[in-house]
Amino acid sequence: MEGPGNNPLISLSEGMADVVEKMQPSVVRIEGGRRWPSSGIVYAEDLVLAANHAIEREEDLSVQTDSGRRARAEVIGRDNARDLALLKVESLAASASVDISDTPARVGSLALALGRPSEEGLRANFGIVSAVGSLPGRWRRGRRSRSRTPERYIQADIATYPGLAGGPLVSASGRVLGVVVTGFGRASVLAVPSDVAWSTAERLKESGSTKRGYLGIYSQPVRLPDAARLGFTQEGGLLVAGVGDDTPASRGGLIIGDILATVDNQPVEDTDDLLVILSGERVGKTIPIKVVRGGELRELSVTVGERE
Amino acid sequence: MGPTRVFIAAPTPVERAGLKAMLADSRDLRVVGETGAFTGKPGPDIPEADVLVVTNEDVLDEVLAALDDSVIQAIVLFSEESESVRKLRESPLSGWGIVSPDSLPEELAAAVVAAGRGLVVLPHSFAEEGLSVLENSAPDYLSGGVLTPREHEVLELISLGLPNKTIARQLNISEHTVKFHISSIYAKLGAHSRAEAVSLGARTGLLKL
Repeated sequence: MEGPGNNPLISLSEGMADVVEKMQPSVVRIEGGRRWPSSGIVYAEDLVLAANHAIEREEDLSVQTDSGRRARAEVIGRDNARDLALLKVESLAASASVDISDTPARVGSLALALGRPSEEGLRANFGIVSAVGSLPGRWRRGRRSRSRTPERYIQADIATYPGLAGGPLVSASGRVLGVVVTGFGRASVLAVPSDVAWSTAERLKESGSTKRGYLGIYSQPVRLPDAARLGFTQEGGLLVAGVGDDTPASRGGLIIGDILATVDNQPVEDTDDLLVILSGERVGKTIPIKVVRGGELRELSVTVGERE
Repeated sequence: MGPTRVFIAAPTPVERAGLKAMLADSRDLRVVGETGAFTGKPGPDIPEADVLVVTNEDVLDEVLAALDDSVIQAIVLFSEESESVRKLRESPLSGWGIVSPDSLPEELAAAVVAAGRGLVVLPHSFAEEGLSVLENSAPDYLSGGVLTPREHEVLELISLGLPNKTIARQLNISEHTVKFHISSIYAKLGAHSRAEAVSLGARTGLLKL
């Protein structure tokens, strides 16, 4: 029989199985709502990172660990934009926390997605990192949003299953590349890069809240007038229905009646687009905003504030 | 039927003393106890009493949230907010009343006794507005007045991702009341999750972005 030295397939296989085994204590199962259970990653002592959308309750959550032990958990904070939540779990061992990758994921590298969808144990799926970068925003009322998310995501061609969200995307060396937050189609997954996920977790741990960008306007979706004439391919825009006093918007010169077309060069057709764009990363940044005012295109400059 | 038994819920000792003084002269009622805060926990917070007199909206919210677990049948509220009419009307109380903060002792006493008897009491100035509120059913999104100020605050804090416990601490109300506000917010916006509430709230002009 050939030993591992002769057959690269054997060493590949053993290597992957070793990675999975090492990760076992760090991946938990979370029962958090009416739907499927989801997975979670041990972040630190008594803290678990999870996919926000899968956690439907605030408390009386149940977390099952590798040893089969069940513990009660509650939500400490949520980051809606990144789809991450931090849970406090009764007596979780800190030694189960993981190493994150110190280099960004490389397109083409091997990746394993781990999850704990059932009480039977860890489940592993295998693929490669297919893309890294920003992505189109969410589907909204049946239409894909044209704006791109400000955050980086890792896309990996790995089959999805219910309960996968919240689990780690792991490299060949056993380090966490990211936190899987959703399937993307049926044959790939999206993960928040681990450096982003970990700094989000730290912020949630400290303040329970996420940093949110703020302009200071009330707005609502409208048809963008003269879109074609003004050179836009989008159909909609955001009508400014109110501007707060002494806000980033008022200081930048936005007025009621302006129709926002692009914010930081991202098209905005709905308040959801604006919510995505006004993420914590843009706080303090001075960004261009293109508006339609009185049938004419104007470009304004606004410094994004922070929502308290 | 003996004198109406009154329990006072007001946040400060000064308010409680003031209310007791206002009610002291009436022979139709008797103050049986007082409290500074409603915990919302089940159990006899209140001895046998016919009417609870409440001086502000926050305490009212706490009381309404705990209604199932308490023995309260009637509430009289000091208020100028027409939103309170809707809240009291939709509650399972047998009688209730709203008195203006400028009420004279005789008016307060009359309101308390009437509410204790299962009647609804409104000050004159309120009656017209109060009655039209009683007629309206569906909330009107475009009027911008869909959420109460308190519900607005809770929605803002939800949009920051805060959990109920932190919201309760920040607004100085009980967690029970926070959940009460959240289910009201969900019902008014047609939302089924926190993220949906934020999205719908932003789109209907309730959240400044």
